[in-house]
Amino acid sequence: MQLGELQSQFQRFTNRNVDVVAISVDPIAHSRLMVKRLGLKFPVLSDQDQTLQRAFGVQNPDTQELALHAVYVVNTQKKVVYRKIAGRRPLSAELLDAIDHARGQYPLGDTAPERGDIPVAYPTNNFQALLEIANSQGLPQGVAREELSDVIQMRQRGELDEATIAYRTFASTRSKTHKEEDLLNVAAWLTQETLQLPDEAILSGQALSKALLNERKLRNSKEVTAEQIKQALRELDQLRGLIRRNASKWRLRAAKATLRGYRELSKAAYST
Amino acid sequence: MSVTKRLFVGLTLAASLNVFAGEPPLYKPSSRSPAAIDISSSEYGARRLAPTALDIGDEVPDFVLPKYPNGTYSLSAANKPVAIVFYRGHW
Repeated sequence: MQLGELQSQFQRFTNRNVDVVAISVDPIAHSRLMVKRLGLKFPVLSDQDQTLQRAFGVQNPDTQELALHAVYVVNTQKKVVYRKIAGRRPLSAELLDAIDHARGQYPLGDTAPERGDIPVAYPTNNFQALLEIANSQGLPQGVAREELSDVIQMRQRGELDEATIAYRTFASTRSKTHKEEDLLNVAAWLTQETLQLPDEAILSGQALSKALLNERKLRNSKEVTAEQIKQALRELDQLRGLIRRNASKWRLRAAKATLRGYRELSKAAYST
Repeated sequence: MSVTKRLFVGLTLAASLNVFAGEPPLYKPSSRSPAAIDISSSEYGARRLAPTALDIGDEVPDFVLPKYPNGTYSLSAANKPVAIVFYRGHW
């Protein structure tokens, strides 16, 4: 669910006497720009110490400090009547239907569910996958490309299980000599080796990373004009648009899945 | 028509109407799902990578969190249904 879409349908929640809240781990001060830009009329809350997202069990396995994208609807008794965790972003109409259904009033007639033609998820996580690949430092010191050639060849032959086992062995040996961060870089390197993302994709990832950094710097700066911020946001939007439009051409979904797999294997090597 | 028969027809009609009125909203969980399913079911919003996430019917913990631009929001003080959206933040 994108908060802008939610805002556009906010009146329908109010009509049903239902509150809407958006929660992230960002400090309150960071919400200012977003609230202004999207014109949000519902409360934006800060769960900075992650207590609530842990209580809900929606931490992101990739980056524990962030939440997965998750939407819940609770009734007056605080019981969950609807939930959607990660995956396709739900639309407001869906939440309204769930609310009406929980009240025994579905269909109420003003949500017009679009069955069959459900928009494809906004690939926010794919941006992240691209960023990590684009920003990876390559292979860390002491790890040779040849050590991983087995893994790559097995994957290319479609022997995914064998590749997983081979990587697990590699990771468990390397966890004794290398930091976790190094193995996460290996995960990114492997993803790029296996999928061969086009240069254009990697460059876009680097540009996005730079634009994000720039935006955050402006946000925290005291001497900044509204025009500068607008310009930075425009730049970000353009980059995201470019990546979103090319997401399937660049196989970003596959990149995300591959990266996640190797990241998980890398992390697991340290916990056993 | 005998009384029993009338009763039977009546019951069947009532039952079928009930089924119709209680039909849950159906959506596809993802764009690749083969079929639309009940959105109020547990499996609809489940996710392998979040096995311990609160489920349908679970009671959520009460919370009081700081709210932009100031003040706090309390779930129990709201005393009404609430749609809670966790978003990633940062971007």
